Amino acid sequence: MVATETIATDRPAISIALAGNPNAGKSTLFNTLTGSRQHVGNWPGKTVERKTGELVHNGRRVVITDLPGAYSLSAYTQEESITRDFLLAERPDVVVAVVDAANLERNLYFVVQLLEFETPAVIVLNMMDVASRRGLTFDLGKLSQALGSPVVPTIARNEDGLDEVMSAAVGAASLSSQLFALDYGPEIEGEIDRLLPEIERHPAVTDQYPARWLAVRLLEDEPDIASRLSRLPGGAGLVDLAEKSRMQLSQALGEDVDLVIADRRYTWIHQLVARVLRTEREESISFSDRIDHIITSRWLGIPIFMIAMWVVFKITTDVSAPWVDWIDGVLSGPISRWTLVLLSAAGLGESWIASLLVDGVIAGVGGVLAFVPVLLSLYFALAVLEDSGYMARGAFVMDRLMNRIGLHGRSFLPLMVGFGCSVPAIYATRTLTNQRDRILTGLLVPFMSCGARLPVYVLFTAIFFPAQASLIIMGLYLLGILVAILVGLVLQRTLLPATAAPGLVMELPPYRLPNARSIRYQMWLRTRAFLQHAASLILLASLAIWLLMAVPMGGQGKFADTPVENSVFARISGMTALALRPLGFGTWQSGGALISGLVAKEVVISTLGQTFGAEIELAEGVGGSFLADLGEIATSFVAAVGDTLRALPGIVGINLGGEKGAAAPGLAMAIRNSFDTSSGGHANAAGLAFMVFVLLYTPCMATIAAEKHELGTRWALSSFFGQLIIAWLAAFAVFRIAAWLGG
Amino acid sequence: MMTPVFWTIVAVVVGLSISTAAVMTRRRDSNRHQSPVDEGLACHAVPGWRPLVDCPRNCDACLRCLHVDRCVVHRLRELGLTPGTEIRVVQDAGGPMLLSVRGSRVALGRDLAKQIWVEIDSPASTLDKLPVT
Repeated sequence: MVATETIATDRPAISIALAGNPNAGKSTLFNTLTGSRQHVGNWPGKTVERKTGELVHNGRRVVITDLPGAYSLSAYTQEESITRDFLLAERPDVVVAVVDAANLERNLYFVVQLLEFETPAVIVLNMMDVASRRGLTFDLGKLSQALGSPVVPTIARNEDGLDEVMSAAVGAASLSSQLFALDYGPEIEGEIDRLLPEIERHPAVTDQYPARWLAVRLLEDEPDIASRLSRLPGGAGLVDLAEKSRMQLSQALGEDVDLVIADRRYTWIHQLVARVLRTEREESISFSDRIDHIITSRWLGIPIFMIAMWVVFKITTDVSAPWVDWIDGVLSGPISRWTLVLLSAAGLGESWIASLLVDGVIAGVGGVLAFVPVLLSLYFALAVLEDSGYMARGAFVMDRLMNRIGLHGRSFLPLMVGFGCSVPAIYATRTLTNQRDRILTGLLVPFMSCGARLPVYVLFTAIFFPAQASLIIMGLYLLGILVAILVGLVLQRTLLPATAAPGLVMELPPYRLPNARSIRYQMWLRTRAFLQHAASLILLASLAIWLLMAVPMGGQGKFADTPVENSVFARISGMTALALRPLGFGTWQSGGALISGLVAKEVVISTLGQTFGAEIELAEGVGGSFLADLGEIATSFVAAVGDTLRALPGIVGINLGGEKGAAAPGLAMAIRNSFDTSSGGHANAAGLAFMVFVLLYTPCMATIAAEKHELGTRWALSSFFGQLIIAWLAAFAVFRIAAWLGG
Repeated sequence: MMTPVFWTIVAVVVGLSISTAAVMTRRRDSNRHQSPVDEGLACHAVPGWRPLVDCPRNCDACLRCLHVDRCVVHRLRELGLTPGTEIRVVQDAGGPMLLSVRGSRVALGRDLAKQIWVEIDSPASTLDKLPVT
């Protein structure tokens, strides 16, 4: 028999929402169900990841939305309001509530609220293996009966029970919603009964909200429910009625109604769990707790965390570096050559099209692809840290220190990654759960001096301060941190005031072995999201610079074949030089280097070389045959693998040294003379100011693109202009003080 | 010629640290003025209740009174911390406290732990671990 899967296209797709507490295995379930047919994006206007996926079950198309992990359905946090709004607005056919079987009682608090939503539900009792290892057994029949919904036991990471989940969900989709009514006691039930007929009199209201759910929410005095309701016809009257009911109730009960309601829910759950859950042996101190005694301890906690961060930093820099070089080598070598060969064959060898393709498009694509190994390695490290449960411990350990500067314990990791590259660091702010903390941390990331800025320091200290090179470089890194702290403190007092939550409240998930497939999905999907969202901006910026360099000014030269000093680029750089004059380096060459540094800080030096006419010798490979080129790609690939393997032991050790700027003496002289003239004899002061400016000014286009993708356009623009101003002021101060001191 | 530049760096770094310190001190002062919610509920008046922060590691206790902001009460509630809940202190390393609550581990900032009042179970077994007050 051949099982042919035919998709019933005439029937609409079933929409399923996956909901549950964080760490209940929701994402693992989602990944195993949908595989790579996923779309990762952000919820509109939010910094929370939105994931949807598709699959076909028994011929029915199913669309699954992975809702953010939440602890309840009230709207106190971003995740909670997203979950609630999705359920209200999109009305999925089925809600699949994922429950950590080993942590039933707490998880059921959220499930009960989901059930009150009156959407057909399936309860997935996940991580049954962990539960049974702890000696827990469940009476699934009783549980299912009490909750009025099917209960399916699963072990998502082993793909156990997934078919049953889908069958139950597809089955539930065709059922009409069932009323799940938890008994809140005579006083509250009395008020609910009084409110219900009033609510049901307004079809505009019942269209949007399940009646009993709304009654309970109104009595709970939920934030923003009242204001939303007031906008509906008849809603304002209901709000007033509920207000009166709530007053009477809190007087009769002697407590806030929402506290009583929560208490009743927990009591009901507690009694239910007592009936359905049997513990075979009493758990003493668990394995997780024993690890926590060491990992979160007073003396070892921070050192262990620092080692972990060091490893992440090395993974995102050293391990990915050979691959970045390989991609760069392949694009600038064989690919560029092949393009030129093909173009010459078409008779376009020396035309502007060749220049556009090689210097504009291929260079731009290279600029995008160079981030792929970096991001893959970052997402690998993040996934391991998150999935193992260590990330939450790191936040726990760092909380006190980071609180001093008004940041969250989790802010440390993105800032640390920022010393490697700002782009993955911006994406690393995803580990922060609060929108405000994410924006704040994301804005501070570019002040961490990234790896691409180091060559500039190396070159300039070699020219201006050969004796104190390492001291000054160290000082620049410290300056970046200090400015970040200051900017952070200013932002907290102005644009991003601290939310009312004083201090840390966070669940620490139990330690788990990371799952290889889950890590792979996270790496690939998130990197793909970067390519989709940020790539175009980086490519555009690169093309814009090419165009500026290609267009001649003042009659000499022709398009795409013009000396740099005659291009529009030089003219624009000349204009920026006016603004840079007070900083001591107001020349069109420095201005041009800084402008091209907007595309990528890596090119600051090569632009300086270009504009000073002292071309740094580029490794110009001799164009070999096609086969030789292929061979070269392969051998350099093998070399990259080797370099990566060699970099792995280096993760543990500290690998200083290397990275010595082999500046061409001609370039050094040219820069020195130019700075001497432009600063009126204070070349050293100007050189220092230039380094400070490079440290602090507008992050590269890729970072801006990442900020736009992660934090929104408004914050990306603030970062763009804010840092420009900060850099100008700091460089001005440094130049004036240093010149005054006689530098 | 190099030394002035070196001193410039020192001056900038020192200047920035001083201003940072100044801003932070002011922040701490403003925090001091804005005292925690002190209406009605006088938890500490009940004999036998003590702030959570005074519970040593491995101490079992029963949550009695949450003397914190309404929004935080809500957050704690959804993590399972309601009055009457049995908790255990898993870690107390001077920073936030790590608790075992309804089978999960919850980290609580130290300032919060000062405003949460608990009753320690079976005093006979745990009282000797308590700091003498």
